[in-house]
Amino acid sequence: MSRRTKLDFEPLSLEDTARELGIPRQRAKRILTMIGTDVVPGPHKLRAGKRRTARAKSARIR
Amino acid sequence: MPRTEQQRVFLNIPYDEHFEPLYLAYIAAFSAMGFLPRATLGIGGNRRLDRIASLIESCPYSIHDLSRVQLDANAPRTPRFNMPFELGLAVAWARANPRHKWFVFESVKRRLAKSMSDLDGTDPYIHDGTVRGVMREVCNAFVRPNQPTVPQMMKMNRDLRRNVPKILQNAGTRSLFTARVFSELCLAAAGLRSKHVGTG
Repeated sequence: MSRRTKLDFEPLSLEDTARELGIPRQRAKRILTMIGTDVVPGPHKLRAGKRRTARAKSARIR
Repeated sequence: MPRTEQQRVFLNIPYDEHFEPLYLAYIAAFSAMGFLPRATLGIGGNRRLDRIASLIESCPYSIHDLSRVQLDANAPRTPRFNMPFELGLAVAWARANPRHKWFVFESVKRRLAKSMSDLDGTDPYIHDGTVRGVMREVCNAFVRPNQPTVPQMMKMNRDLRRNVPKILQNAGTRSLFTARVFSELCLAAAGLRSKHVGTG
């Protein structure tokens, strides 16, 4: 008989992991940035690249 | 069971300087497997026992490392009874709630038969007191889709160790065995899993 226990759960997202561990969002972001993980928890996690400048934004509006 | 509780694993391990490499290895290995490690670090006060029991009961899995059977260095020299005691709590909880699974880890073959003969018939996972041994035995104990490899776990462990000085500095402590450092190590290890193993 196998001694191995089958795991069928999905790992928590990094955001849920931080919440479960009681780590505030900014501190979690700092830790994940420190280890070089691109995914950061929070509402802005899907935003990639540089913020658009005011000039770029106004250019798009036109 | 709530979705965020399925991943919890209670780590019952020694909190001492000599155990630090294996402490980090446990955090890296269980995070690589998708677990969320929990520990008694930070639990104090006169209700400590109740809170430890509650913590065990909130975790579907518990890991009990019984490799620290020596007398400690500080006078009066004593063995550490917390680990076997917490194993007893987990075994009692599992008898009433069979969903709870407990696992015993040791560093020396056949020593458990002498140190705790009540567990005869239970095969401990022998990690030989090495980081690689912890990774190997965690992989021997559990299987999951998108199973991490031991080299991936070792890489996570190396990256985690590399970041320890910064985590300690930010926490204003030199000890790895504080509640804040433990939780930050667990989050860092989860981040390293998504980096080296993937999220599935």
